[in-house]
Amino acid sequence: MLVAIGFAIVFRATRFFHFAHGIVFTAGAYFTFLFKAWLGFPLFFSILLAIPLTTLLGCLMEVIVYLPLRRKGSSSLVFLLASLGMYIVLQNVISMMFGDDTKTIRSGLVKEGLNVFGARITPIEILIICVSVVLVVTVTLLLKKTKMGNAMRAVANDIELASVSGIDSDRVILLTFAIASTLAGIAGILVALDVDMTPTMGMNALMMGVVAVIVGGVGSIPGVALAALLLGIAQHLGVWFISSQWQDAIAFVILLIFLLFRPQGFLGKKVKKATL
Amino acid sequence: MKKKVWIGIVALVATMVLVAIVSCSSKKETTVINIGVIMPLTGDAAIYGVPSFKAMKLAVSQAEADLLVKGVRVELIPEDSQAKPAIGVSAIQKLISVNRVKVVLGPLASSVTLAVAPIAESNKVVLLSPSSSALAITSAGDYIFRTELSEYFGGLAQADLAIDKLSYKKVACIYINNDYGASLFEVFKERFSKRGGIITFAEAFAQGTTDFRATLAKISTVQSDAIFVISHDEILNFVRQKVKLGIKVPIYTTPMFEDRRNLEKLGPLANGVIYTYYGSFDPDIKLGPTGSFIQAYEATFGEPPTYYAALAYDATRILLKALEITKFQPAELKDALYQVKSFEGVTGDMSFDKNGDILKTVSLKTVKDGNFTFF
Repeated sequence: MLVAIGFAIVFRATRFFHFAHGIVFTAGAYFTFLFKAWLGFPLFFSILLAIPLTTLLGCLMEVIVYLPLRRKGSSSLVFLLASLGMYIVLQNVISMMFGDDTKTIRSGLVKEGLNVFGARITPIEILIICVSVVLVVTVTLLLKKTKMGNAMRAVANDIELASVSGIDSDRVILLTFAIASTLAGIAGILVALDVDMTPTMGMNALMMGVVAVIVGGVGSIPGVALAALLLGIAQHLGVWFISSQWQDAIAFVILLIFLLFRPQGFLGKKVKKATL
Repeated sequence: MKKKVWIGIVALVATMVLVAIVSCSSKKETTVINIGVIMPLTGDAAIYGVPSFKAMKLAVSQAEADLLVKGVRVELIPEDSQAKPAIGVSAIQKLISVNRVKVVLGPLASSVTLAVAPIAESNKVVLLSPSSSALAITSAGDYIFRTELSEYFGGLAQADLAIDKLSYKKVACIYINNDYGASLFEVFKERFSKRGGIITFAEAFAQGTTDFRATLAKISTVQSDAIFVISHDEILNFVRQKVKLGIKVPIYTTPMFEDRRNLEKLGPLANGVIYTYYGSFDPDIKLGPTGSFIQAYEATFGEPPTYYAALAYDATRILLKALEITKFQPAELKDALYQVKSFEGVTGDMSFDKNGDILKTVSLKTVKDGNFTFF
């Protein structure tokens, strides 16, 4: 869900497919692992250090790669390839540094979960839910209520018009990347706390994020959040009724259905021709 | 200053020439047999490959004195495969065309063995893998041998032990959706059902799956004596999530589980996991040939030998034995290997069948107080 929202705000602002967002997610988990397992910091402290690093990583991508490309007026295809390239390079860097096997950052014992209405929920799962809800609400408010949020939405709507109105669009986009990357980093850490990490974890998360963005509607944060939730439920019901092999297939079938019948997403507004 | 440097260089060259002359003159009397080695010496699988190669070197050095008397010197020529089929293929091509080897020890991983097998077969090079277990290797060719149990026999034993030793009647199965998982599951299912067992639940999962909660919820709705898990790393999350969901059914799994890292990552949750174990190598034995192998390995490399090291040690010794049968004519090695009968190895007694496969005892092991022990 957090990956999806991060992806959505970057996509809105820049109109390209930010593949490398997936590796920011992975990096969040591995930065934490680096501090905790290699440098021996306590878990909480490691997480606190890892989050700003993921923010920095996302910003560096924008400053080093995307900004020069945008200055050159490159097409979306060039952005897509650059982004995919960064994803692959960084994934391999992580592979080389940490190895391909599963790494864990959890500490303490795994215990039987609490019984809540017949469902077993562990403290980590509760933490994930709480953090996600808080972040979704914060980001929504940030976009709707603050001046910066208005600027971000303005840039998202029409970058040239925004610049004419005196908005420093590069700064706004950088900020967008910062927020999106922070979200992705936190998501990566939370997922790693629950099910550990591998260098390839980012791609799957990104794909599910993209599906959620399309299903939820690119323009709507609550829509994306809701879509992510729906997707999760659908996938688990799918495992229950069919088989776990089909988990990803189910997500993409939902994606197809939405693309065919409701391309604007279930909370998105119909795209007006004029803005295209 | 300059003069000193010159004197140094001259001395160095002189020594090198001297060494070359001495080694040439001593080589004249002995024939050198080159044995290619294809092992993952870097990368993820290096934790299996490096101990294997060490054990090969140990086996060769132990036989060295004996062989020199017979006028033979054996040289190991290592190539790193990184457990990747493509790199393994270029390794064997280099060994065959540059080093002109007639015999190769390795590879370690089944996928690499299957990739290099056709090349070995067409060049009439004997390939002896210490540790590949895939079903398809049985029919990979006449020149292809292995000292690890085929998954076919592994699957049969897995089912038999479940019924005879553990008295499981109903077993839920989940398996990794690849060649290894699917083929092992099929063998197990057939044998287990034939012998009156009931498979209460069966489902494949994609490689790299991390979330088993929904699958576990499904498993918890059927009554089973155990959950049979065929997987790589995925078993770690499976075990944890099983505990989280409060499911008490024991886990029954494959020899892949015996990896120290699993103990570190699972901690006390690993206790009680039951798995099968091929061969009779026991790292705690102090006596007999196994005991002296363990002592020699520890003395040479300063660490205890792993299961894979033991397999590689046996493979190397069988090879040396077969070489002796051929009177050190590597071209006849293939037929000689088929003649080796009940070879006493540290992993058990071994004879090759007509497919170059080997039969071994399969036993049960478990984790007790954070250690792998025999069941």
